[in-house]
Amino acid sequence: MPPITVFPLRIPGVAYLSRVFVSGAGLFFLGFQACWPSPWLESLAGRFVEPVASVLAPLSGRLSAWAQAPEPEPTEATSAAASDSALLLLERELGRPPDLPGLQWLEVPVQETQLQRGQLRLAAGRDFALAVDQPVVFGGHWLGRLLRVEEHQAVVELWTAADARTGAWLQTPGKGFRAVTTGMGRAGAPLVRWIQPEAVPEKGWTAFWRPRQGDPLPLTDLDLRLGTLDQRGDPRRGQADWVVQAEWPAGAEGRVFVAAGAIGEETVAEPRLWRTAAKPVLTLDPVLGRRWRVVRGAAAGPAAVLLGDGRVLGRVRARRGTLAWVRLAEPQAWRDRAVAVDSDQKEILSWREARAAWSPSSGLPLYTRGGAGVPRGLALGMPGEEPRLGSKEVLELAGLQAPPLEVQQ
Amino acid sequence: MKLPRLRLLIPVAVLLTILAPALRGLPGGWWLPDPWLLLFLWMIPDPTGLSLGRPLFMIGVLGVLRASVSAVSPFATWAGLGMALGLRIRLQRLLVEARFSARFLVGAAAALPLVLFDQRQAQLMEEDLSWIPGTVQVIIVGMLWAVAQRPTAWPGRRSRSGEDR
Repeated sequence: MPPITVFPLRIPGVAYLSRVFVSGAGLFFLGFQACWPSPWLESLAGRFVEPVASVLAPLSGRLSAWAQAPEPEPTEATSAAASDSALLLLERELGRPPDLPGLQWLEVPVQETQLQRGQLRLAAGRDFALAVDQPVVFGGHWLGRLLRVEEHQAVVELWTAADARTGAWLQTPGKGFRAVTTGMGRAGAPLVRWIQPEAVPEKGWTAFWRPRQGDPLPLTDLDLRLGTLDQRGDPRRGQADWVVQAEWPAGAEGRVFVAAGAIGEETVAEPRLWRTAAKPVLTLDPVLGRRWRVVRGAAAGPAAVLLGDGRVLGRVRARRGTLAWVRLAEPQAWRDRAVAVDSDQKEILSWREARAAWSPSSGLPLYTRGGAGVPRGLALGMPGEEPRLGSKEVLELAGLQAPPLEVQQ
Repeated sequence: MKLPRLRLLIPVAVLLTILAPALRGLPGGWWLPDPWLLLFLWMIPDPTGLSLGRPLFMIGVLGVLRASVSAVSPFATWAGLGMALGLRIRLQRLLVEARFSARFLVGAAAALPLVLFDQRQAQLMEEDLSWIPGTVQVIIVGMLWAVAQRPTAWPGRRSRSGEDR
């Protein structure tokens, strides 16, 4: 269609305009998807790439392996490689409360921690005889109660969750007071209300959990801690609140213990780990760099990390069928996604605590913290250890399997 | 303008994909421009007035091939090459191609979107991709384009029949 000319304007043809509009909209969509990817569209595109990649990547790998000198083999075995369960053993040791008459402790792995929302998602449910309202603890710490139980997973409402009310016992050197805490969720530490008998609290008092009606009485013998009392706001203006600074044990991100009167056959639930053997395919990514490796798993699955002789070499960043793109990373690059184990002190340290404890002569072995599909407790190695991928290592891809879908009846 | 045939382009693109990791593994390989982008520029020397069917098909093919050896999403390649095509169509209409600087600008502008999308992809995958190789690649593509591209019309040089050569 010829352009319409109305002096002094020249209006281009409608066909031209529509072509420009469609091309612009298409490019905008592609650019938006590239910058803020939708996982659904990525997996859809991945299905087209998958068959091509399964043929071309190995061919390309063979060619580049022929063109390049092989990587030097690691000279010595890494110390952390052999003890990949040290974190899990310590969690069990620290987290298991003492046996109580008439009660059993069910050990349940945590699938996902959502501290901001005040929830923990557990990797077991009705299949493990869990029930709503059961108390959840870790060592000497009260965590909360089971809020929702599904067939293969359950949700714990932490006592810090918004609007969660928990009975507290404020212990002072000479006396004790009853109180109730109200969780504030993202807004901050739980508020302390209804102190009985009436008293002016002081900073630093210890807050313990107090049972409610129907709770098993033996639980009170455990003196389960909530945290320490603190004041928030400006007391001079009369705008101050008493709050409990919650104590969150780092090990509770791995497993928790549920008090149960009636139990099933098993008392320990294991996380649904997925592992498969892997072979190196490409020693670099032609766009992203030399710290990338492409490996081929024996089976397709929820691969989240690459293990070399039991030690995590890097995180899987892209999957196409059985092929996985892994970025090699030093243990300290995991930062907040790592925890450290101090075997001498029998402590599990968060990343911040571990960093403070490091010295040039000694570091603490790091382990995966878990979450986002990465299993907890996999050995990362000592800080500063370079991840090396030689030809002699036993490679594996590992991840966490999603729980089976609920069957609607 | 006639484009190379698909039965030539696709095998070349596949071969390039197989060779790309080996090329990057060579000393100085990271300074080389993106091979898929170079192929795309080579196959369409002048996109103005061209039917978009073939270039769009090749953008699709190159995106899939690039993603088959790289963790980068095919969407990033599709967006990068699509914008490269769009920018070239706009710039080649606006600029006088006889000038070296204009041809350099066209080449560099065509290379820029892909580098930017690769940076964004690296950011998403927590990879600290340096800007220096990307910038050098943009300059190299601009230089290559300025040197290697034959202008569609040289001013003042006409054939006996009066048509542009």
